[in-house]
Amino acid sequence: MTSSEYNECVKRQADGLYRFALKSLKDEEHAKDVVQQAFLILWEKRREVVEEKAKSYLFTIAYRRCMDVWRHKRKFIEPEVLENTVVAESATAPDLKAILNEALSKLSHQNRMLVLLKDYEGYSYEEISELTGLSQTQVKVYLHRSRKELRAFLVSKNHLI
Amino acid sequence: MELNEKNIEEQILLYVDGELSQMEEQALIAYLNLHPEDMDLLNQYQQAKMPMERVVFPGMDDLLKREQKTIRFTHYWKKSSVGIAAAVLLALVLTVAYQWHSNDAAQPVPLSNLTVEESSGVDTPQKQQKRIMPASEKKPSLEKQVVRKIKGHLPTGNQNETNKPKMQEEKKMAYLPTVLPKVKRIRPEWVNVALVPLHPYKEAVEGADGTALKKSADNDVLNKLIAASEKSEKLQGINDILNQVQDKKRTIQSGWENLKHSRVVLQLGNQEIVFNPLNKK
Repeated sequence: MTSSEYNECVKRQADGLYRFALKSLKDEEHAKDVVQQAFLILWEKRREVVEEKAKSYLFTIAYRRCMDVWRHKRKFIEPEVLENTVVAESATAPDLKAILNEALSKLSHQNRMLVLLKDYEGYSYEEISELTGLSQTQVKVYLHRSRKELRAFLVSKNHLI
Repeated sequence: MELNEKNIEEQILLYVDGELSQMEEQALIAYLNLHPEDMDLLNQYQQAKMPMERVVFPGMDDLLKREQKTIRFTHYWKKSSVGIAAAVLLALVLTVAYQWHSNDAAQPVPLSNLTVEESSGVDTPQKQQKRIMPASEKKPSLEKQVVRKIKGHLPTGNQNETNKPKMQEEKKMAYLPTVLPKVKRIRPEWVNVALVPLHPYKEAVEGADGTALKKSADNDVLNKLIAASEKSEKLQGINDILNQVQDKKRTIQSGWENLKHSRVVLQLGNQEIVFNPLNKK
C-alpha cells in the first residue's frame, strides 16, 4: 500500500471506524484513540497490507482495541455509571433512533459490536467471523439474540408498529 | 427447508440480516403470504435494525500522511558499484598484462638457436600471457617490411639498364613462388613457438645478428631480391614486385585465420622453419 492509497483509505474508512468505536465504547476520547491506533498500525504495516484488505484490517484492530478498552473500563468504572450516561443521552431524543441507540447500549459489549458490524458496515456472518475470531455459528447466535433483545426493548417502549 | 411456526422466526432474522439465498427468500415470502400474522414479526425485526447514521471523525487531518518522493541513492549505488568494480578489475588486468609483455619483450634470437617445442596440449597461463600482444608492440606489416628492406638496399648511383628486364623476371620467379606455396598446416596441436620468428623474410635478411643470414647459401632467394634491388634504376620494377607481393599477401591473409592455433612450416631452400602465426616475434 502506497502513501496515496493509505490516505485514500483514511478518507474512506476513518468515519466508519470512528462510528464503530464510538458506539461500541460510548466514549469519544477512547474512540479517537482506537481509530488513531488502528491507522497507526496500518501505516506501519502498509507494505504488507493490500488496499482491498485495509478495511477488514482496520476493523479487526479496532474490534480488539475496543474489547481491551472495554475490559479496562469495566474494571475501574461502575456499570451503573455507564448505564446512566446512555440514559441521559437518550432522554434528550425520544425518537426511534435514540431508542435504538439506547437499546443498543443495553446489549453486551460483544453483541453490540456484532450488531454494529452487521448493520453499519454490512459485513456478512462469515466476514464478521473472520474479523472477530468467533465461529459463524457463534456470530449467528449472538446476532439473533441481539435482534430479539432490541425488538423486545422497542416493544417495551411502545415504539413498534 | 420447510417453513413452520418453529423456524419462521429464525428465517425472518436471517432474512433481516440478508443471509438467505434467493430461493429461501421466495419460500419465506410465500409462507408469509399464507400466514399474515407472522408479517408483523418481520416488520418489527426490520425496525429493530440500526438506522444509517453518519459520524465524522474529528482528527482526519492528523491521520493523513504527506506523500514524499524519496530518491534512494543507495539503490543506484548498488547497481553502479558492480559495473565500477568490473571496470576497475578489467583495467587492472590489462595494465598487468601490458607491463608483463613490456618487460618480457625478447631480443631477436638467432635462427640456429631456435627450437620448436611441442606442447602437451595444456594451455598454461604463461602461454596465454604470451599470446597477448598490445597493439603498440605489433611489428609492421609484411609489405612495409619488404619495402623498408628493399629501399634500404637501393643504390644511389648509376644502374645497368640492360639487365633490368632480366632482373625483374628473376625477382618475380625467385622470390614469390619459393616462399609462399610451401605452407603446411598441422592441426590441432598447439605449438609453443614463442621464440620462432614470425616473418622469415626479415630474419633471413638480417638474421639474429643482422648479417649472419645475408650471406647464407640457404637464402638465395632473398639475396637475389636484394641484388636485383641494388641494380635497379627505377622504382617501377619494385612496384611491380610489390603488387605481386600484395597479391600473395592477400592470399596469405585469406588463410591467416585458418593458420591460427596451427604450426606452420616454411621451407626456404633446404632450411625448414617452423613457426606459429599467432606468435609475432
